[in-house]
Order: sequence, then C-alpha cells, then structure tokens
Amino acid sequence: MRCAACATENPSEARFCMACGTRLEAMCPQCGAKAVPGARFCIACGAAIAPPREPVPAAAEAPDLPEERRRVTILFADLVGYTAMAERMDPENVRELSNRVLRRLAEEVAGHGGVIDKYIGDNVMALFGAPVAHEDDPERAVRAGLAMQTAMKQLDAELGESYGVRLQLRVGVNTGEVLAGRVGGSYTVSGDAANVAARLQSAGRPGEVTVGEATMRATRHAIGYRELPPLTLKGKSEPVRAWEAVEMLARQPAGHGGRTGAGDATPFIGRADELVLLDALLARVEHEERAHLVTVVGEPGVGKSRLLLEFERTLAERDAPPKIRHGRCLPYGAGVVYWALGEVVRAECAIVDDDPPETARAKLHGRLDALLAAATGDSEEARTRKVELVGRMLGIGSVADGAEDAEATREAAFAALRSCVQAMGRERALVLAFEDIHWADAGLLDLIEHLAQWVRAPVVVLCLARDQLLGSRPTWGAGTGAASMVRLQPLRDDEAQALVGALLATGAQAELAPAVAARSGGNPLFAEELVQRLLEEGTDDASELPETVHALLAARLDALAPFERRVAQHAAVIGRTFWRAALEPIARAEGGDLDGALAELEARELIVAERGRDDEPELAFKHVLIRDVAYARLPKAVRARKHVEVAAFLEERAGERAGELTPLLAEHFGRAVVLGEEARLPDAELAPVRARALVLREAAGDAAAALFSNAEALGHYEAARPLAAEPAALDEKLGDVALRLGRVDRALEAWEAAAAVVDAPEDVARLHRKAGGALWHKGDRTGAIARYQAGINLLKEAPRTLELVRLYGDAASLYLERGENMLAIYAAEKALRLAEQLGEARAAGRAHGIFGRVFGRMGDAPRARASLERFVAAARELDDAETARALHELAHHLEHAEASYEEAGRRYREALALAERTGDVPAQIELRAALARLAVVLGDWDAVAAAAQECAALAEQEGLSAKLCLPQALRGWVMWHDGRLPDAEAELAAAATGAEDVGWSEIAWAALYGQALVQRDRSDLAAATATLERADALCQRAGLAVQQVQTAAALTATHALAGDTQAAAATAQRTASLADSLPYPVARAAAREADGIAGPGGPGALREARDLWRSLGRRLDAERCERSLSAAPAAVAHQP
Amino acid sequence: MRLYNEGWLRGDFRVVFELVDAGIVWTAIESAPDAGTYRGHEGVRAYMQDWLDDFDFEWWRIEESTEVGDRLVCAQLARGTGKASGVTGDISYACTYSFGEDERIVEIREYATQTEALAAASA
Repeated sequence: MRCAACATENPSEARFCMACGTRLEAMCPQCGAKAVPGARFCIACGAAIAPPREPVPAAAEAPDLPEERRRVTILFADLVGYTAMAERMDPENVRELSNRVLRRLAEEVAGHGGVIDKYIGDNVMALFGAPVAHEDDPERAVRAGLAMQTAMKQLDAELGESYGVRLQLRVGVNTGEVLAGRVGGSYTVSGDAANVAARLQSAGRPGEVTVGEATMRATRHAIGYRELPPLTLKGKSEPVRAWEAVEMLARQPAGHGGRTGAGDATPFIGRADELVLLDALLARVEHEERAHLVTVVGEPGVGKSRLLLEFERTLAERDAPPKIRHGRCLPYGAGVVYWALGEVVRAECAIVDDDPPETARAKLHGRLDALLAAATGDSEEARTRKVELVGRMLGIGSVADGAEDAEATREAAFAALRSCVQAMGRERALVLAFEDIHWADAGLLDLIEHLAQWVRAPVVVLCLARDQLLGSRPTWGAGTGAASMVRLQPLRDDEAQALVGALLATGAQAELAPAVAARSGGNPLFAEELVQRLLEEGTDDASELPETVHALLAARLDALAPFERRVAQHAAVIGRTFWRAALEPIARAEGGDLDGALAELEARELIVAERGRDDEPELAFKHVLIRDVAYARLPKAVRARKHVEVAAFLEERAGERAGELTPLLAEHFGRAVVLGEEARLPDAELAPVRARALVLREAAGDAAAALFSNAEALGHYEAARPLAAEPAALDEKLGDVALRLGRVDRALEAWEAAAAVVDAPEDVARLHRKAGGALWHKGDRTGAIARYQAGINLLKEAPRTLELVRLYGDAASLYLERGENMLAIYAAEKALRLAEQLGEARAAGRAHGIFGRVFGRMGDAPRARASLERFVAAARELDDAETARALHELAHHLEHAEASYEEAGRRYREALALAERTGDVPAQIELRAALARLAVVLGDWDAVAAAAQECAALAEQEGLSAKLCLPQALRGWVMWHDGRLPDAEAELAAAATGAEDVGWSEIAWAALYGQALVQRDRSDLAAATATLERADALCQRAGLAVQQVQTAAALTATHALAGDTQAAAATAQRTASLADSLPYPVARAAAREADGIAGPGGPGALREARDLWRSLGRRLDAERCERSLSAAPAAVAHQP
Repeated sequence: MRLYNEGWLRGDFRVVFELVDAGIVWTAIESAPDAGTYRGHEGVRAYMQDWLDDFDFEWWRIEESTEVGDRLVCAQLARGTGKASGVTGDISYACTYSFGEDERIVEIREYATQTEALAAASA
C-alpha cells in the first residue's frame, strides 16, 4: 500500500505508513480500488472492506503543554485475534465490538490514573506520568495492565457468547525518560522507553503483562513477578531483560479527590535537644571568646534548615541577640568560589546587587575599616590592605594580579577575613550560618575551618550539610580544635506521627497520621509534602502516596497551571535563588501573568521570598529538590538556550561588576554548551556559546587557581579544555593545579599534551621541569633527572633565564635526595649564581638550603645551621609553602645532626601547620612522618601509631604511592614495640625496599636499621648483620654520616652478641673513628656505647653513653645501655 | 694522563687540548645535570668550564687505571670547593678513554662507578 504523503510502499496489512506514520487510505481487498471513506463495501466490486478503526476517544485531550523531559511509564496493549475476527464479521459489528473492547480497556487505564496516548489500529498506547505525574506511576501502569487482562477475560467470555469470537490481550509496560509534548497537534511522548514498551508488548504472551527492568524495580514491592528469558527485541542490539507480572502483593490504590489549599506552617518537633546544644555552644563561645564550628549533617529534608530557623527564633527572643549572617552555597557545584562568603560580607557591608562598583567598594571599605579600627591595633595602611584583600577575594575591587603568588595571596586573604570576622564577633556575638556547604568549593571549606581555628571572638560558625560533605571531606573540622557535629536523624515514629498529626489536624484526614508518618520515613520534608498533597487533593488514601520525594515533587509541579509550571522550570535554570526580572522574558513570550504565577507558586509553598534588594527581593525554591525536579523537566535544547539567556541577564544586571560573576557565567555558558551538544543544536548557534564558555571557564579557572582553590580551578580547566582549539596553555595550567591536588598522572598527561605542541625552548624546558617534579612525586627519580637534564640542555646555551635557575634548583634538590652530594652542590652553585644574577630570591634561598644539608652531612653543624636559617629567612619573605619547605629542612638538621628534638619538633609542627594551610598534601605526609619519627625516638608509641594511620590514609587518598614507605616504616616500629616481631620485620623490609626504590635514602636507612633490630630480637644475628651491612653501604653511598655511626654501633653490638669479639672490637674502633670526624651528639653517644660493648671503654664508656642518651631525651637508648650495664659482659649487646 | 689531569686542575685548556684530539667526543656522566655529548675542543671547553666556574679544585687524580682492549678505564677522584657555598667535597667517577694514532684522546665516556666503566669497556 503506497502512502499518499511520502510514497513509501507499505505492507498490505499496514494501516499507517511505516515511514511517516500517516494513516493509509483503505482499499478494497478484492479489486484494489480506493475505498470511499466510511464505506463498508467496495463501490467497484461490492466486496466487504475492513472497517477503518474508530477508536474510543483518547482520555487525554492534547494538552497545551510545551515539551518536557519526563520519567514516564508507557503501556502498550494489543488485541490478539482481531484481524481474523475482522475478516469474518460485518464491519458494523467489528466496529461495535472493537469500540466496546477499547472503551473497557481505556476505563482501566483511566481508573489507574493513566491516559490513552493513542490508538494504533487494535493497539492501545497509554501513559502513566504524563502529562501529570503521580508518585507511583510504574505501579499504576502494571496494575492497569493486570486489570486490563482481567477485563479482557470477561470481555472474551461475553464476546464468545454474543459474537462467537475469541480475543486475547498482550500488554507491555516500560518505564524511562521520554520527551513529552505536542507532535502534529497531539500530546504524546517519544524516546527509547516507549519503543521498548511496544517491543515488550509484541514479544509478550497473550494474556500476560510483560514489563521491563525499570518498571519491575520500581514496583516489585507491590507486584509479584516471574522473570522471562532475556528477549531479543527488534531494534535493540542486546537482549532485554523482561518479567511477567504474576500477582499484586499490595491492595489496589484508590482514586484521587480534588485539591485543597496549602497546609499551615510545619510545627517544630523532635529537635529540642539539638536546639539546646546550639544554644549551649553559643554560650560557650561567648564565655571562651573563641570561635566554634558546628556542622549539622543530615539527608535532604531531614530538618537542617528548620533547625537553623528555630535557632534564629530563639536567639531573637534574647535581650541582646547575637548578629546572624547567612551564606548559601550554590547547587552549581564547586564553580563559584567563595560565593557564600560573599553573601556574608555583602550583608555586613549593606552592599546590594545594583550598587555601582565604586559604591560597593566604598561600602566595603567603610564598614570593614570601621570594624577593624575598633577591634585591632592595625594601622590605617594595614587595615586598607586587609579590606582590599577581602574585596579581591570576593571580586569587589581590584582583580588579583596573575603575577602574584597564589598561595601567598590566599593566605593573606584568609588572615584578613579572619580579622574582619573577629572584629564582627568582638562587636557583638556572631552566628555565621553557611547553608548547603556540601556544594561549597574547597577554598570556602578551607576558609571556614580557618575561621573556626583562629578567630578569637564569640563566633559560632554554623554549617548545614548533607552527608556527601563527609564523603568528599572526611576530615571536616578535625584540625580546628573547636568543632562539633550534629547529625540529624529522621524523626522517631512517635515524633513523625506527632508532626503529621499536627499538620493534618485541620483537615478531615487526621486518622491518616500513622500511615502518612510511616510513609514519610521520619523525614519532615517528606511528611510535610505528603500531608500537603493530601490536603490539596482531599484524598484519604495514604497508600498511594509517593515512594520518593522526587516523585512527590514532580506530582506537585504537575498540579500547577501550565504557565506557573513553566515559570518554575525557567526559574530553576537560574538556580535555587532567582529574581523576578530574570523571568520576564518567559512572561513576555507566553503572555502570562508573572506576578500571579509567582504568587501562586508561593501560595503553594514551592517558592519562598528571601532576602534581597528592597526593590527586588530574591525568590528561592523552598527546597532545592523542587528546583532539581523542575529543571530536569526542561528539554535539553530549551535548557541550553535558557542558560545563555540567564547568563545574558546576569551580565546585564551586574553591569561593570560582571567580573565578579565570572564563575557563575562560566557555569551557565558551560552548561549551555554541554546541553546544546547533547541536544544537537546547530553549530552556527553553538559556536559563539562555545567561544564564550571557553573564555569564561578559563578566567574562572585562573581566578580559582589564584586563590589556591585547586579543585575548582581544575574543574573549570577540565571543562574548558574540550572547547579550546589550541589547548596548550590551558593544559599547562590544568597540569599545575592537578599536581597541587596530588593528581600526578593527570598533571603529567596535561603537560605532555602541552609539550607536544609548544615550540619555544623556554616553554618546552618549563614543561620538562614540571614533568620532572611530577615524576619525582611518583618516585621515578631517574625519569625526573632526565627531564631536568632535557630542560637544562635546551636553555644552557641561551641567554640566562629564570627557567634555567629553576631547573638547576630542582635538580639540586633531587640530587641531594639521592645522596649525590657533589652533583647537588654543582647544581645548587649554578642555581645560586644564576639566581643572584637574575635577582631570583626563591632559587637563591633553596640553594642555601641545599648547602646547609650538605654541610650537615659533612658534620659542620654551625655552617649547616647558618645556611638553613638563611634559607628559612629568605622563605619567610616569600610565602607559606616555601617557608614550610625551609622549616622542614632546618628541622631535619636539628633532629639528625644536632639531636635538638624539642626544637626540631617545633619547626616540624610549624611547617605542618603551613602545609595544611596551603593544602600541600605530600608535605603534610612527610611532616607527620617526621614528627612520628621523633615520637619513636622519645618513646611516644600512641603518637607513632596514630601518625602511621594518618600518613597512610593521606597517601592512599591522594594516590601518592611513593610516600607509602613512610607509614609502612612507622607501622613496623610500632609492631616491634608491640612484640609482633615477624610482622615488624616484614613491614620494615617492605618499607626499606619501597624507600630504596624511590631513592629515599634516609627513610630506607631508618627502615633497615629497624629491621636489623627486629632480626636481632629474633636471635637471627646473621640476618641482622647482613641488614646492618646493607644499611652501612647505603649510608656511605648517600652520605648519611650520623646514621652511619649508629649503624656501626649496632653492628658492634650484633657481633658481640654473636660471640665474634674480634669483629665487634674492630667495628667498635670503626665506630669511634667515624664519630671522631662528626661532632654530633648522637654519633658521640653511639660511639661511646660501641666502645662500652666491645672496645676498651668498658662499663665506664657505657655509663657515659647512657648519660648522653638521657641528656638527649632518648629514653629507649638510655634504657638499652642500662640493660647492657646490668648484663654479663658476654651478653652486653646493643639491645633495644 | 697525569699531565691531562693537572691541566684540568689548573684550568689550563692549552695543556689539555694538546692531549686531546680536535675531534674529541666526550659523553658526560649520565646522571649529571649537564649530561650530554660534547664535541670538539670548544664543546669540551664549555663542559669543563661549567665545573670550573663554580668549583675550586684542590686535586684531581686517577685512583686506578686498567687497560681494556684499546681503551683505558680510570677510576677518578676530585676534591673541590663550591665557590658560593664553601662546601668541600669529593666526587668519584670513572672514565673510559680511547686514543688516536697520535696518542691523543679521541673519546671520553664518563660513568658513575668504575664497575660501570669496566662493564662498558668490556662490552
């Protein structure tokens, strides 16, 4: 049969064109003449013509709705035996019979809340969830299918009697996301979910309801199923899992009643203890005059915001209520750096959105300067600098200069902010409330912790977060020293019932409270929304209430008039908070009453008025889930275009201050690109959006990187990269922030990509240096050296550059790490000479650090210390990260050479605090391990065990496998102390191997030394000797002078224990000789001990060694000497 | 070789170049910052000048030498003091020397250890 519309030849039985769906005109089956519409017999030959289908009118009149993405359950039903029946029966009878059957089936669809989408011959397509969603559409659809089968059996019996025909029904049901809207004037849905439903129906058995996996999963609590062998469906590349519905496990849901108005405010129930706790914390900060961080954690809807609201209400009743400032984090993820903080500061300074830049700046300076003047002794110049830093952080005022050091800028800004918050708190007790911090950028989280740790004023930092915060930031608040966490659990059954009972008290459905409370699962939002719906619909059937809040909110949105729903959807593109003016275009386009729609949304408690400008208050979705559901409904193409519109609106509104919104605009344009590509918008339309998104993403990344908000910066750069035609510069920046985050492989990948396309030698050399640093992090020191060499060779013949200085400086550090002292000195000399010529202070400072370490290894303590102090002093002039590095090196010298453990500990701790502040995870691991090694020396085993755990967690979390030898060695020492000798030996051996693999000679030595002690404790003296000899060779190779004396002393004791007095005496002599050239206390004590064990010194030397160890605070070593003294001479040995 | 080392110690390139072929190929120690291959007198001068710029050498001597085929394998030790740091230290390394018909050095290869140098010369 040829289609009149598209000329496609269709099979003879086709009623609709298989190519374009046009109804095909009926033709006489006998002579082929075109049938007259409505004719029952051919006008050419008189043969009977199969009647055209006259369907039962669709239950859903095509509604005037725009396209939406919806999660819908689709039901297809097909009459089996219809064609054969039509051949045998009079067309009038066929029509009467089919109308009767289809009407009956449609009644079942409608009775379960579905709508007939269309009739396709003897097929019925029904929708559940479009155009109006219910909370349990999949269940309704399956129930409808089962009811249709029951009805069909009845009909079959009736039809058998009346007409002598047999009919059966095949039903297929499937659930999935579809695009819903008008097609050719009719409302329908399209998408794979619908195709699969049709195929399931075709493949199903007559008399059965065959469902797909999504439907089964959504309904298995209510429907019993039998799984079928996977079905091979037309158009599907893989077999599809399918089930037959067997029985209903729960009772049939009943129909809905009409809607009533929205409920009253929700009573505050079940959170009295938490309220008391918050009150007590406020009293505590007022008493202690230092900040406290309290984080309220819980699932969406559990009542975090409500707790905050009630807390505010109780505070307002005080005679002298504290000041409350709010900051809300945006659901766009981490893109908008410090947004919530901006809200706090703007509110404090009374800055409103439409203030011109100079007004905003003046307000900022006016208020913050007054605060600082009252609370600090800062000079005017210092105050101005602080205010500038705060303004820069928030994008009010000058933009950060790219040449500035990002870490230093961030540190200074944090300190400035701390001063301001402290001043606010000293003026009046302060509650800083940050909502939804699970969406906060890492920088803001760092800042909140910083404030909690350092502010010395009565300030409660109250944060609300979902559980996901602790997933992404498991140590949240741990380092602040003043932090609490309040976990809001769902309400108990009695509390939930009390809540629901109170909400239902005014309605006629009060008896439903237990059922509704149970359905709510103790989630107050669920309970509130469930009741709201009951009240709106006047229904008394709690069983049909939603399974999830998502479905519930989708249903509430569907209860809106089309224009109101459109307003909600478009508002959702802006975010949880939005402004009326941003919605005017939709009102103009659709001719709707915007104020009326907003009023209705507010009346239905979907949105609430928030703080904002006097002339334009902010509006917000009452709950972000409402926003999410509304947003997801918009087709991607619409969302893409809408994001561009919103960005344009925001830019226009911000005027000259649009720069402050760069991250937000980047998010909108970025989303527009992603959605536009998914929706396959025309290239001509997308190209300018891509270009704009690229510029904004990169700028937002730069801004975040400048503030050391590395995760956010990385996110922006990653998002920008696919947009860039020439991504080399972007790749380099991406690699920089990836390395800061410890994502070494990603950094290397990015730099390799950049190096492949850049030409200038200095650029290539710089990328070599960066790659060298990354390889060093990974433990590939040979690879790292090769990269440094490649960079140096590119530049050494060219005019002097800072890049060459850096290459020599980094290479020098690596040589030192490998124990290649002369190569380190060579490289450091080069770096220093070039740095001084070029005025590069950082590289010059590092060169002095390297000199210091080499002097230390040579036993020249005064010159070592002088060089290292010079390094620290130079670093303090630069930034925190450099200072941490310098302090680490100084502390190392103090520990190993001078045995000044207290001072070393102080320097390590200062360095650790700085490394934590700058987010330098590798340094944190090394410094924690260093402190733990001090704890080993001083015998604080609990501290050692804790540090081992922390180091391992950090190293594993960041994928820093080269650092794992540190916690491994610490664990080994703890096992030794606990007497678990086999475990200790294995752990220390693994640590030694790991450290040697990455050329970390000092760690390898510590592990080998420990391993030998364990072996000796196990009386395996041969193994201990071999291990100590290995350690000795390592010391010689790496220039570890002090450690070499300790090794020789231990070897002396081991020989003595083995009864080899000759070897012991020789080693004791060697120990003394090594110590002679090394005037360090540990070397001297070890040499005296060896002399006491196997040399001429005897007990007198041992007593001297014991006293020396004691004077150094090395309790374990002193005890060992004591034991040696009390033992028989033959057993005198180097016992731990 | 003694004259050659003394030449280096004094930074006297004239003496050195009398002992070194104009087409010399010098491969620096693999792990050094300036690793690479230097060719001809000027290449050698640039390489050595890099060291002489930053170190005052006290002595520079051959600890042990072994003939392997037509090559001489030398274990060498130098003591120098960094001009800026004041650090005095020893650097030990090894070289294989190849000689031309006029007995001038035509190729030098540096190694981190004598063992490596011997292995390379024997290969």
